[in-house]
Amino acid sequence: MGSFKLRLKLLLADRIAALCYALCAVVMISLLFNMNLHASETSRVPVGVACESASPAAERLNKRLLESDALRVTSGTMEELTQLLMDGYIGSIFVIGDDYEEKLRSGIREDIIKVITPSDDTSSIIVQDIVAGYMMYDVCFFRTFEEYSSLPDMSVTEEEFSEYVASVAENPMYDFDFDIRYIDVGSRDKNNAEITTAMIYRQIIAGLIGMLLLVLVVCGCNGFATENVQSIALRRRTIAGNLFNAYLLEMAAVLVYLTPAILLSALIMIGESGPGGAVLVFLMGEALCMFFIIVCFVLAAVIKSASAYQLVGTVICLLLGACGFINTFSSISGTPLFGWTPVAAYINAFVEVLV
Amino acid sequence: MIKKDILLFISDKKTVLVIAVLMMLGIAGIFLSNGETAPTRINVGVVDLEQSNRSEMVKTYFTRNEDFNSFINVTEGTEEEIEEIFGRGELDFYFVIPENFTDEMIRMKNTPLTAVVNSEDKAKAAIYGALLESYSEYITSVEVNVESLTFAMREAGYDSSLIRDTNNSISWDLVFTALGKDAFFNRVPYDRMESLSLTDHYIYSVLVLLVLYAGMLTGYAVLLERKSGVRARLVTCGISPARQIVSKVIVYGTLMTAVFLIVTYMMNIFGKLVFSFGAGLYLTFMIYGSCIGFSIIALLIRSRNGYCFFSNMAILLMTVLGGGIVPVMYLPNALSSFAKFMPAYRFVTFILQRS
Repeated sequence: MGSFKLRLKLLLADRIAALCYALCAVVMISLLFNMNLHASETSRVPVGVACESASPAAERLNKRLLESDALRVTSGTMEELTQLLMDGYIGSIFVIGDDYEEKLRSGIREDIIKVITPSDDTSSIIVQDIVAGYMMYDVCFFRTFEEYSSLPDMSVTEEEFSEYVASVAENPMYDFDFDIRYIDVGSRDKNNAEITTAMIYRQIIAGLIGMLLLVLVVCGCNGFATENVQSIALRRRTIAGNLFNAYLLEMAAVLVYLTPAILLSALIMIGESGPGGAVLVFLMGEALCMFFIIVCFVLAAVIKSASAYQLVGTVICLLLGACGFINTFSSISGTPLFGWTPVAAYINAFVEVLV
Repeated sequence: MIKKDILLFISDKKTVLVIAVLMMLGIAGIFLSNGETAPTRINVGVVDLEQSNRSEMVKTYFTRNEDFNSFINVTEGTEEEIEEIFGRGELDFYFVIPENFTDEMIRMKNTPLTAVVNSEDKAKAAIYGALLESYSEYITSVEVNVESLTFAMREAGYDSSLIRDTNNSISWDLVFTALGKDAFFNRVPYDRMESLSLTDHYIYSVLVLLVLYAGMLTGYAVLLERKSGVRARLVTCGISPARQIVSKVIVYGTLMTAVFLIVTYMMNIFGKLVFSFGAGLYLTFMIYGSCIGFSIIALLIRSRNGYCFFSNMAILLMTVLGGGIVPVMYLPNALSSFAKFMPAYRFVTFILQRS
C-alpha cells in the first residue's frame, strides 16, 4: 500500500494542481449539468419566424409554431432574424407573408411561405415537413369550407363552420396518432418507452463527459511522465520489490484522486437515470478512467518527454472523443463507425442506462 | 534569444516528431475525407393487410415519387416476410396498414396505423419517432376537417350519396395536398451566408482546437523554462522575462503558423474545403493570440500539473461554449451568449459569412 499512499500524497501535495483540478471539474460539470437540464428544449430545431400578417390564420400558425414540441422558435423582424441566421443561432427563417390567409382562401397550394436558408442548405427540408404539419389544419379548413359553401342551399357562415370544426377538433377521438413500437433488433427487446430527440442531445453530453474524464486522466498521469523524464522510474528498477504491483497501486491512486470528478459526472443525469443508473454510470466512468490511466502510463513510459506526452495524450483524448461523436452521428445517418472505441462504448452504455 | 528558442524547439526531437506525425495525419485525413459517401437511404417496410385499390394508390404514389425514392427504399410483403427482414436488421421501421384502414379512416373510425421502429440505435429511432409524430399532424388535420364537413352536411339534411361522394373526393384531394406539401414553400437561399455540413463544421472546430493546443504547448515551454531555473539565470544575464516570453511567442507562433498553413494549403489543393487568404490570416492571428494567452497563464500558475489541468479545461470549455462540439444554435441560451467571445465560434462565423 506504500506506493498507493505515496502517489496519492504526491498528487494532493501539489495544492495548486489540486485547486485547478477541483475548479475545472466543477466548472465543466456545472456546464454539462446546465446542458442536460435544458436538453428537451435545446434539442428542438431552432428556426426564426417572421410573421408579417395580422390575419387570424397567420396568427394561428404563428401560435402553433411557438407551441411546437419539435421546434425552438424565435420571433422577430426580418433584420433581427437575418442577423441571428448570420450569427448561426438559427438555421432558417420562415416568413409568413401578409397574403398568407388570402392564398389559403383562394386554394393556392404553392409558395405560401417563404423560407430563407443559408445557400446550399438541405437540412431545413425536414423542418419544412414539420411546419407543413402545422399549416395543414388551415389548408384543410379553407378547402372543406370552399366545398361546403359550393353546396346548394348552404346557410352556414365561415365563422360558424370554423367553430364547428374547432369543436370536432377538441374530440380526442380524431386525434390521430401512430401506434409506435420500438424493438431493439439486436437484443429483441420490446421496449416501448418513448425515444425522443433529447436522447441524441444527451448522447453528445455523455460524449463530452467521456472526453472530460480522459483529459483529467492525462493531467492526473502527468507525474508518470515527469518521473520518466527525471529517470526516477529507471532508478526504481534497481530497488528490490514487486514493481508490477507497485505500479498497479499507483494507477489505483490516480483513479482515487479522480473519483470525485467521476462521481460528480455520474450525478449530471441522475434525474433521467435514477439512483441505480447513476451508480452504473459511475462504475462506467471508473472503468473508462482506469483503462485510460493504463494507456497514459504506457505512453509516459514510451515517450519519455513531458511536452510530447502532453501533446500525444491530448491528441489521443481528442481522437477518442471524436470517434465517440462520429459513432453517434454516423449511426443516425447510416452505418455506425468506431463503436468499439472507449468513448463510443461509454456513450452507448450511457444510453442503455437512460432508456 | 530567438536563435536559442529555435534550437531549443528543434532539440526536443520527440515533440518535433509528434508534430510532424500529426501534420501528416492531418494531411492524410484530408485525402480520406475527400471520398464521396453514398447518400443514406432509409429502409421502410410496408405490410398491407387492406389490399384495396385505395391503399394501392397511396403506396404507388410513394414508390413512383422521385423525391421520395431518392432517400427511401420501400419493401412490401406479408407480415411474416417483413418481420423476418426486420429481424435481420435490414429495415429501419415498418408500417402495418390494417384491414379496412382507408375505409374506416373515411368513415372516421380511427384505426391506428402501427409503426414498428428498430431501436437498436437509439438516436436513429428518436429521429424516426419525431418524424412519424409530425406526420400524424397531417392525418389529424385531414380527418378533423373532412369529419366536420360530413357532420355539417348531415345536420343540414343533405342526401347521403352526396355526402359520401363529397367525403370521398375531398378526402383524396386533401391526402394528395398533404403528400405534395413541399410545394407550400418558396425556398430563398441567403447568399451572404454559406451552409456548413456537420463534417466541415468539425474540421474547422478541430483546427481551432489544435490552434489552442499550439498555444498551450508554448505556455508549457515557458513554464518548463521557469521550473528548471533557466528564466532566473537569463534574468541575471540582463534578459528581461518579457523579452524571453516575446521570443518564445515569436518562435513557437511562427513555427506553428508554418505547420498550420502547410495543412490548410494542402486542404486548398487536395481537399473540398476552401481556405481564403483572409482565413489564413485570421488563423495566424489566432495562433499568436493563443501563444500569448497561454504564456500569460503559464506565468500565473506555478505548478506544472496545475497548468495542465487549467489549460486543458479552458480549451475544452472554450470549444464547447464556442459551438465546437454542439453547434451554437443547439446550446442553451445561457451558454450560447458566451459564444461570441470564443475562438471556435469566431472562426466558423468568419468562414461562413460573406461580406
